[in-house]
This record gives sequence, C-alpha cells and structure tokens, in this order.
Amino acid sequence: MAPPASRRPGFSRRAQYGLFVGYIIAVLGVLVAALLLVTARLDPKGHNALRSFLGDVASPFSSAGRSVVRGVSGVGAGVAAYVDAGSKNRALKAEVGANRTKLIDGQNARLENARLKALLRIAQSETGPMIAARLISSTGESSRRYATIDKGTLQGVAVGEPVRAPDGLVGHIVQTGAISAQILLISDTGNVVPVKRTTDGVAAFMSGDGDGLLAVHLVSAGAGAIKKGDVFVTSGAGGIYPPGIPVGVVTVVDRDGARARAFADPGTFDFALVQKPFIVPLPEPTEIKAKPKAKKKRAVAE
Amino acid sequence: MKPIARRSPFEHQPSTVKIVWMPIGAVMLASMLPIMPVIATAPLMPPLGFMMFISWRLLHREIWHPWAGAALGLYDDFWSGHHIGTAMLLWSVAQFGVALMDRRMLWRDYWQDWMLAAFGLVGYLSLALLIDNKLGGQTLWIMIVPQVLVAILLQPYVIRMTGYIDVWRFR
Repeated sequence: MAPPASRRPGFSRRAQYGLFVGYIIAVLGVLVAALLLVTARLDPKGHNALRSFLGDVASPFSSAGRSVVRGVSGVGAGVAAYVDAGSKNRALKAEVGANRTKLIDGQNARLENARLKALLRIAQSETGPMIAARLISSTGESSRRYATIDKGTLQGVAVGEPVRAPDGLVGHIVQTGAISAQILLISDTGNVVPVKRTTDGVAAFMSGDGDGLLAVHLVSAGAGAIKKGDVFVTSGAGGIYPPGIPVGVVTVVDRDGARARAFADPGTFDFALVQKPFIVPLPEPTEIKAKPKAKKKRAVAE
Repeated sequence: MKPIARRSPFEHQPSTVKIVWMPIGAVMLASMLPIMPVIATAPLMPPLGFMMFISWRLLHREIWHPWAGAALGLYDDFWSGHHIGTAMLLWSVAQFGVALMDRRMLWRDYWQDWMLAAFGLVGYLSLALLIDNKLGGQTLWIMIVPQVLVAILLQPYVIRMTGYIDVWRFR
C-alpha cells in the first residue's frame, strides 16, 4: 500500500512554492493541450506540420523496430492462422470456386474494355513516375487508421497522392515530412473512396468501418442489391484515386448494409506505391473555344 | 567514504539518475511500443504508455510532478496516432483524477488499484475516441470495446512489470 500523502511538502517555503509552481505548470499544460486540439480542428494545416515533423523524428525508430518485430508478428499470425484454419479453409474453397468464374468474367471484361477504350480513345491516366515506399508503422492504438511510409517530400511525395499496393488500394497521403509521410488508410472511418462494381459499373462509396472492414454504400439505392463476392474497384470519380484499382470484395451482407474486405491488407505487404493523383479529364476543349466573345468580335472586325 | 567491504546493504545508495529517470524512461518506452509490431487494421493495441504511467502513480503516490502527465502525454502523442494534445490533456486529467480518489480512499489494495486503472482506461480510450471523432473520424464506440477489454486485462501485468522495474531502480 502506498504511504499516506503529505499534501504539504514540509515547512520549507521553497518546497511549497515549488509544488505550487508545479501545479501551475500542470494547468498550463492542460490548457496548451486543449489549445492544440482546438487548432487541430480550426487549423489542420498548422497542426499537420507539427505532426509531420514528429513523424520524421519517429520514422528511423519505427523503421528499425518494424524489421526487428516482423519475425515476432509472423509467429502471432501463424498461430492465429492455425486457430481458425478450418473455417478459413472452407471459406477459401468457396472463394476459389467463385474466383474461377470471376477470372473468366474478368478476362472477358478486359478484352471488352480494351476494345471500348480503343474505340473511344480514352486517354490512359498519366500516372507518372511512381515512388515505392516501405510501410514502417501504423497507429494501432488510436481509432483513426494512419500508416507511416519511409518516403517524404525529399523523395517527391506530396499530400493527396494515392497509395496502392500490388493487391489493391491502400489509401492516400495526408501529411508529409521530409523523410516520412502519413497515409490515411482506406479502412479509416473518415476516408471515403468512390468505387464501382466490376460486373456492371454500379457506382458506390466505400469507407472504413472501424474494425478493418469497409462499409459499402451504393450511390442510388435502387441500383441493384449488393451480393456477397461483389468486387469493387476505384471509379476515378472526384479525382485522387485513378480508376481501376481493386479496392475490396464484399464479405458480409446484412440488415446494416454490405461490408467488404480490402484486397490490400496493410499488415501483409512491405512496399506500397505512391502514385500521382488522378485528375479527372476535362471535357473536350473545342466547345469552350467557340464561346469567348473576343474572338467573335475579331471575326467581325476582319 | 567507507571501504566497500564494510558497507552494509542498508547503507547502499542507489544512483539518483536511476531513481529519477527509470520511471520516465519506462513510460517513454511503453509509449513507443504501440507503433512497433504491425500495421494494424483495427484499434486493438492497448495504450501501454498510459497504463505504465498510471501504474507508477498507483505504486508510488508522489512519483510524478503535477505536470508529468502533460509532459509524458505530449511524448505519447508523438507515437499513439491520436491528435497531438489528446494524451497531454487526458493524462493530466487522469493524474488529477487519481489524486482526487486518493483523498477519498482510506486504503488501497490490488483490486481497488485494478478497478481504478480500469475506470481510467475506459475513460481515457472513450475520450480519446471522442476527440478523434470530433476531428474527422466516425468510429463507433463498440469498435474499441476489444481494445478496452485487452487493456483492462493487461493492466495487472503492467503494474507487476512496473514493480519489477521499481525493484531494479533501487538496486
């Protein structure tokens, strides 16, 4: 048991004042903390600058730590995989069956897509040079889902750039330091990704559900029910994410709506690709050129 | 200075550096742990820094300066992924909360310590979630229930660990 508290640190004036000053500093600390949180709300840019600086400081530590602990977490994953091997096996078998048909569908779709693209001469989005970065840490403690990569502004990473892994979409950059950057993962509840269903192109949104899954919301409710196994890819709507990146497959459909599992599990891959943000192509400029009055006047003058 | 051979164990003076810095170092290390192992898809990692901080406080009544919560909380904010200021605010509040409880309680034991820490953890994680949600997240409270449970179940071990470090500290 702890000894009884001595609320006064003895008769020494100096010690008493010391304690008093300590409390004043504590109250000031609380006020500063509250102020910092208010700035995060009112001035996210300034707040982010502070956070990205700290991210830079932390990145060497977490980079080293991650390589050390990778072995340990591998053991954990192995044990976990063993525990639910049976149910996983069943689920995988079902998935393989579903995938086989999907593969054929996909091949058909790819052929058709290539044909249609050639037909419409849709310019492929210029993704530009991509930057390969290592995911070094994430915030397992907070309810927000951020991950840190080991590339920053020095390597050309900028805020707003989409990040993908070979399997699928990871998220986008929300803040950059000099040698590190933070990704808002698609599993974050504040991240909304415009997607479309691969089979019929029905538009939808996906956002994090808080538990690692993604909630799927169709843009129009009557557009056809979501079924288990539906695959969604980015639609490119609204920019940022280039179209056609696989996002997730629907695993749960219940009364609350559909939820999908992301293809890219940030825990399983080491490298992610930072791409240039997708810019939605503007409509053909010829119609706009005809509009300005100045040209008309000049034509009249001539 | 007496010759070493004649020193009794009761006269042994542990180093001041160790006494002062070991609790601080332990909390700082614990704060850094949540970022280490995996890229998490769900919040599951218990707030080890906070748990260690509270454990020291429960073990030694006067170990922290009144402003220690703010200082160590700020450090914890570097790593936890919460917005800067979250832990700074909540650790201070928790520190004052425990001090208030100390004035009410006549005695303390293992179960009471655990319960106090459990209430602290529920409050801390809920308020941190509230702040996160106010600043752009939309996580339901039910999503952090596993994290809260893991943290509460781990708390006695953290206190035990703190005890071991404490023994080492005075050696």
